[in-house]
Amino acid sequence: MSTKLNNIVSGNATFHHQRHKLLLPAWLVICLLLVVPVLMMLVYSFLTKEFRGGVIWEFSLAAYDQFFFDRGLFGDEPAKIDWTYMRIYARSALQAFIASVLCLVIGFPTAYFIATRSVRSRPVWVFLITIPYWVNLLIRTVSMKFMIRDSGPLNTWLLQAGIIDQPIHLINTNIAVQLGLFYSYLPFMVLPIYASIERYDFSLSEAASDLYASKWTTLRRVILPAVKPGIIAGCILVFVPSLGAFLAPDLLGGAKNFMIGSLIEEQFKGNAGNWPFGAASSMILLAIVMGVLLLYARNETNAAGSR
Amino acid sequence: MSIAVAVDQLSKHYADVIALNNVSLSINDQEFFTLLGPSGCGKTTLLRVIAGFESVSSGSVHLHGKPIANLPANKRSVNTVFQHYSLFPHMSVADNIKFGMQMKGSTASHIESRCKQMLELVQLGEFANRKPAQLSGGQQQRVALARALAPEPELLLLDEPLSALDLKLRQAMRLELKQIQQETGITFIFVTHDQEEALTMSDRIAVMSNGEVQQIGDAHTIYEQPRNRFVADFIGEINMLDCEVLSSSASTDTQYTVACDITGLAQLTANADQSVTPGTQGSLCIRPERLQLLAADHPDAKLLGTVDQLVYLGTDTQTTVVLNNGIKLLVRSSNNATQHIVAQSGEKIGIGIDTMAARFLDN
Repeated sequence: MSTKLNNIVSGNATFHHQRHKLLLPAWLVICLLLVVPVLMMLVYSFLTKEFRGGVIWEFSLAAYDQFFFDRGLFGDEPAKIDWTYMRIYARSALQAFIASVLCLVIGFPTAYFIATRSVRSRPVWVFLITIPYWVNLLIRTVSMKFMIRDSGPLNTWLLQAGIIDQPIHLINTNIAVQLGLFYSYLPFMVLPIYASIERYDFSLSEAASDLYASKWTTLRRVILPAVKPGIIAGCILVFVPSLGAFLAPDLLGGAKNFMIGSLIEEQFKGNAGNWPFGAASSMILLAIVMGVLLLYARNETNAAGSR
Repeated sequence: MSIAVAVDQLSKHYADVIALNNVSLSINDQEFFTLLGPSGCGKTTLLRVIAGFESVSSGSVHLHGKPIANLPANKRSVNTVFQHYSLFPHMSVADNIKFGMQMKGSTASHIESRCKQMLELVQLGEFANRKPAQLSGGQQQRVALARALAPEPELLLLDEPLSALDLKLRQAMRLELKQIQQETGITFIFVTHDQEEALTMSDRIAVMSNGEVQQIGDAHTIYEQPRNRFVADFIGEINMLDCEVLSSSASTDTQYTVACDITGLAQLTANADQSVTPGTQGSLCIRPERLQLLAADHPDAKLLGTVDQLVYLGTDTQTTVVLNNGIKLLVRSSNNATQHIVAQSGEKIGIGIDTMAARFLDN
């Protein structure tokens, strides 16, 4: 079917072949800036560290060993499983999961609201959603830091309004990191969900209510299954970058609320770093993300197959 | 016969549009009732008000004596077959059919047996586990019907359900729908802009235009005794001749015979629903098949004209005749061998009129 369609669209095989050349610039960019660096990281993760940063070209599993095992200060004790880094990964995953749920809970009603406006006003609402993204993420994160510090505007207003009588301590907490992640990635949830709700046929909601379903049941049994692809896309788009996020945890979370992004960044900073370890940590993160996506893709294929 | 639906002085206004203007009608139990009219006449709005998708501006709707105008759609024992079916795409055919019964809280065993029964009714037994997208238009339409009938509603609404089907299928579905309605004994309200559909299926028809009901009656009455020029013109084809009333007299208790002067041509009689004052201007309306082509010197020829155009329609031939005052008349004659008169374009011809079928309608 799709080959047939391609032939119709492209006229004949020669043209079809020619059009592939249109992708050349994109392929080049992706190879140079994505595939090559990732391969370099993969190679680096199996090399020996140089104490002033950089690597010695000598094969070693030390970086992965360091990630999973503790061999004492001098590396001569029997290997024990070291949970330090895995705990950071688990905490990052939890943070990213909470950020995804928060974005979904706030993003779904927002997307639903926009998708149910008149056709003419929808672009305005979408435009409003994207406005904050004209400002660089770093600047936005720093301004959030400014807003929520103990003597910042948020606390000042709440104190003046008499809602609290002591500043809420937010900065350098998990909540601050959460706020940062949520704020950074909310549009990645809103936009794909909006796109699926916009395609949703609202006469299905009428049909459900005609067949005695309450509003809540209609949402659960008819609307949500229909817009599921948008929700899943949104969750992936929030979860994956949140997992490796660097700015929000670094600027808002402080040293105690270390996440994967900061851990990796630290390994490549100045003279104190450990390049192979940073590379290995990156590879492990990549493996986790790929694993989750593959699992999802396989589920989807199975679901499509059983239809 | 008890009344299933009573609509009383119902109006529906949008910002600056009047969609329904003071509509009153009552629909009998187990009746196949059709709302017929051109697009924008308010028929779909009326259906949506009865279904509960639109609020009313004023007036009331009663279903078997209970007021329902302010009930939400999910609290009304009314189900709808939607124009584009609106089947739940992620559910199988069986799950679609079961949905309404599950929402009503029927027992699992009842749901199973009723679903099976519905699948048999619409002859889709082997498709129970298919998704709607895997079915043809006609099959989807049957699923929509089964889904709406399954919860045993007091009233079934059908919003132009046949309009998306091709002609052959549409004709077959007409008969099937009518048969299912008779088997189940559920009151049907059917919305359509297709007069043929309305005439072939309905017990009674309400012809609507501009948000108002123009006439309610069975197919025969609507076609043969249109109450006004809109109904006469909308249903089928009709010739309208301007005329002035000379006199009128009662022929039966409800019918009057009106003598009309077709300006400058002839004097003819026609029927009317009420007595008409002499001097009233109006139209003498007659269907093309109630006119007869005759030889120009035939004693029954009431009007004389010239043949303008002949159109062969298979079972019939439609002849356009230009009368002596320039007005065109359509004459439809059956192509059966015994009565077939072969006219030639440009030929002088006489026209006979079945005066029992002529109707006087004022302007």
